[in-house]
Amino acid sequence: MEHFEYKEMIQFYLYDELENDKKKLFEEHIKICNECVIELESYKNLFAKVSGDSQSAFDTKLLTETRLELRGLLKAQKIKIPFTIKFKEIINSFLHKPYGLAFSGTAILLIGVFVGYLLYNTPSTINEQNVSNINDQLKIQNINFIDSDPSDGSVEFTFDAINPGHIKEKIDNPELQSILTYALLNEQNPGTRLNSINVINAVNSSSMDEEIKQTFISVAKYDQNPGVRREALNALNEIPADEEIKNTLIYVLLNDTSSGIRIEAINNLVRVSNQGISFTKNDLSMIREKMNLDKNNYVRFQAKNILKEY
Amino acid sequence: MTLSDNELIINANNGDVLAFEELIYRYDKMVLRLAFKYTGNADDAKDIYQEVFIRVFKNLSRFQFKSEFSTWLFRVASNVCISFKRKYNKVNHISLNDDDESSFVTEIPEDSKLLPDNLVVNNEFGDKISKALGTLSPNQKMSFLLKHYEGYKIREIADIMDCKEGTIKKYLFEAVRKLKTQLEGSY
Repeated sequence: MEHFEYKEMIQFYLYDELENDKKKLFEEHIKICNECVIELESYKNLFAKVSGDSQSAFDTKLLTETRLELRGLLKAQKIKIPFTIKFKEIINSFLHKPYGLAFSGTAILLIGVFVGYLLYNTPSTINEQNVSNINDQLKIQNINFIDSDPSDGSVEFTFDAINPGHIKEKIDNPELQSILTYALLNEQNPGTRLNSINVINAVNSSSMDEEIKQTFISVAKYDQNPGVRREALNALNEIPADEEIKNTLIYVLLNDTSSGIRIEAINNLVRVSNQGISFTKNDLSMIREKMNLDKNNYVRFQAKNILKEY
Repeated sequence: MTLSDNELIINANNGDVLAFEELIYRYDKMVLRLAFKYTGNADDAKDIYQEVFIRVFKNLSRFQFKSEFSTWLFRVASNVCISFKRKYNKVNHISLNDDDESSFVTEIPEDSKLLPDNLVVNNEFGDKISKALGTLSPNQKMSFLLKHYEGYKIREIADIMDCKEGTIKKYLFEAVRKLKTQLEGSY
């Protein structure tokens, strides 16, 4: 063995971590190698100093202070233990008790019931095949539009009925139109009513049925929200004019408190007149009344224009 | 009657806070000293101490009694020390490669704030060795501290640091060689 190899052993000899055969060889070597003896003494001194340092007096004040801080942190940690772990611990401790088996059986049964409930009570995605069932569920409410933009030909919304529902359908689907018509009359949220009008109105007006027209008429006359009433008037503007629409416009002109909506109504009356729907004496009398008494200049001006035609 | 570590662990896992405190108070002084010697800074040592025992608290239920609790505790302490990032006044620029001595640049702190403040009382050699320890790589330093300050066998250090015994011997050899050079004339 080379001399440098013995030198490398010194440290581990002092640790008493040399294998027996190496230890014997090393002990034989130091008997004849003065350099290694000196080195051995040097290591001994160093290790003795280090050992002395490792056993130096320890400031108990710092240790006490650190322990107190740890105690505070541990209290905080105990509070922060997640519910899942706590739950697991409770279950584990419970299952080790004699009645654990009975509990396990009951728990499995309850889980089965719960899974069954989840499987058979998930919100239904309604398509063309079963959308008609919805029509029978008269208590549709809380319609929430996920996609209210009809420009791509379809809309998507959720709603509450007897069971919660979720619809993604083409806007010309008659059943979808029916649900939205119902929503237009019954939904509490004016935003939903406005969206419903927009979606219904996006369908070619020629394919609109009588029910939708009647709904627009009702909304234009009686909805509490002026924005919704105005949107309904605009929607009526898209439908080919007839007597019923003319009468609605006159009603709005006479009764609506919003000048903006009355302006919308009188403008629509001009369009109705242009489409060849004639005004009766009674109609003209009411329009004359507006020409004289309406607070809004534009309404009076347009009323005068209509009367000029007759 | 004094309970064993394992009995205290079982009691602590059943919610006995006093058992947990008794368990950690058997070893926390050693952990604090190790952390202090490792960082050379009392504040950092306190941070490491807290981190170690919070980890022990959170993971005690996973202790599988396959090793001594103290070995497991020092494994946690060793990991926390080696991965510890000083919050402020970082003065040691340590190479990522333990064997790359050429890239191992260390500035020994002259600022007395980083020296033992009140942890170890009036120990001149202690100050010097703390400075010299700052020149070692993390693994060399940890191996040296576990050997010379905690008295572990090389096999146990290998277990704590999750290394082969040969690797620990290499760390120890290099650590002692460097310290011997730096502390020449002080012993």
